[in-house]
Amino acid sequence: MNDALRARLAAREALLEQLVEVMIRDLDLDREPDEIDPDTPLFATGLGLDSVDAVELLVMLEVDFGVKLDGEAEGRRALRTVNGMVDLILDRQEAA
Amino acid sequence: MQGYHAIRHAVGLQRQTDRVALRFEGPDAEAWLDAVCPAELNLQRGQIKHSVLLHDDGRIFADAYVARLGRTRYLFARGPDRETLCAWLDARRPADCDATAHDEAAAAIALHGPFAWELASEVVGPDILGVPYLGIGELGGVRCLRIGETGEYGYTFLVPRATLADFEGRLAEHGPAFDLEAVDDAALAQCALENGFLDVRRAGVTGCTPLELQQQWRLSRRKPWPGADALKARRAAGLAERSVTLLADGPPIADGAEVLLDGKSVGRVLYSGASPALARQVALALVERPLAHPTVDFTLADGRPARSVSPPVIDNRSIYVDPYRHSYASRAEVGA
Repeated sequence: MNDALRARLAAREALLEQLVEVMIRDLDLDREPDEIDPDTPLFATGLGLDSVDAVELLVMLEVDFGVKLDGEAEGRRALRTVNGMVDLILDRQEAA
Repeated sequence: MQGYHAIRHAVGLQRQTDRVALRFEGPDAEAWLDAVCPAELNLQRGQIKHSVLLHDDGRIFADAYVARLGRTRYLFARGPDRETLCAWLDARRPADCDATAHDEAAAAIALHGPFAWELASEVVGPDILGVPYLGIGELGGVRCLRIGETGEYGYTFLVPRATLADFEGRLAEHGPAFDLEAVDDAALAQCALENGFLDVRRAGVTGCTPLELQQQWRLSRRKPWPGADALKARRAAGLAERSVTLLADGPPIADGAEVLLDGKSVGRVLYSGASPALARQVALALVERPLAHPTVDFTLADGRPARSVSPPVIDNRSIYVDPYRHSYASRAEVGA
C-alpha cells in the first residue's frame, strides 16, 4: 500500500469512527461502536432508524460535519448506509 | 436472468420455493425463536425482524425472518432445506419449551418492483398500503409480508392452497396492466447484490461469519445464542478481513477470484454478477481489514481494475415512488 492510499484510508477510518460515535450519542443507539459496520443500512432493516432519526441525522451532518444536503434526492442516496454518509462528507471536504 | 427489468421498473412475480416457512404455536413460541436467533426479537403484533441463524462456530447457517401475527410466530428461513432446519431447531429447543413448530402449508408468491404495492393493492385490497416495511398482516385470508430484498417494494404472500387458484386468477387479471413478468432467482440475486443484501446460499459465504460480512446489525450482545461465544472470541482477536463491494468492467468474475493491490493478493471474490442497470460486474469480496473501505482501486487476478464502492450501487426507483401520488399508469412522472 502506498503512502497516499494509507493516508487516505486512515483519514476515512478516523471520520468513520467519529461519525459512528456521534450517531450513537445523538440517536441514542444501543450499540457499541465496533458493532456498527460501515455498510450497515440505516433505515428499516439494519440500524432500524425512522423518519424522526432522519431529521436528527440531517442536523448532525450540519452541526458536527458542516454538511448541508442539496435537496431530497441527495439525502435519499447518502443516508442509506454509514459509508454513504462518509462518502458525502468526504466529497464535500474535497470540494471545499 | 429473467425479469431484472421488471424488478427495477415495473413488477416482477416470483414463486418462492427457496424458503422454509414454519409456524410456531404455544406460549413459549417466541422464547424458542429468541433462543436460536441472534437478533433481539421482542416482537410486536404485525412485526417482522430480520435475523440470521449461525452454526456454533459462528458461521452463517441461514438467513431468517421472524414474524408475529396475533399470537402466532413464523420463521422464514433461506439456506438449509426443511429437514436440516427442523433438526437444527429441535437440537436447540430450550428445555421445558411449551411450543410446537409446523409447516406453513401455503404457497409463497412474491411481488417485487417500484409498483409492486399498486398491483398488491389490486389483488388483496388497499389495506396492503398500511403494511410497513418488515410488517406482516392478514388480508383476505392471505398472509402478507413486506420483506423485499431488492431495494424496491417487495411483498411475499402466503396463500392457502384452497384459495391459490383464486389468488393467481386475480394476479392474471390485474398483472398485465403492470407489465407483470415472472422473475427468476438469478434476477433477484443480482438485485440483492446491487443493494447490499447478503445471499447466504452462495458457496463463498458459508465459511464466513457476520463479522466479516458486515452483518453485526443482526446480532444482540444482550442474550446468548448459538455461535455467540465463537463470535465474541473472534471479535476480541481482531478481524483479519471484511467484505467490500467491487465494480469492474469486462466479463463475469469467477467466485474465488483473487483481489490484488500493488500486485499482492489481499483478498478474494465471494460471488459476483453482471448488472444490467450498470452494464458492469458487481462483486462481493473479502479483503484485508485495513483495505476494506470504498474508493480503493484494486485489480483482479486477470489484471482488470476493480474499485470498491459503498452499496447500494444503483439508485432504486422505489425511493422516488410515493404510493399516495404515483401510479404505474403515470410512471413517467416519477422523478429520479
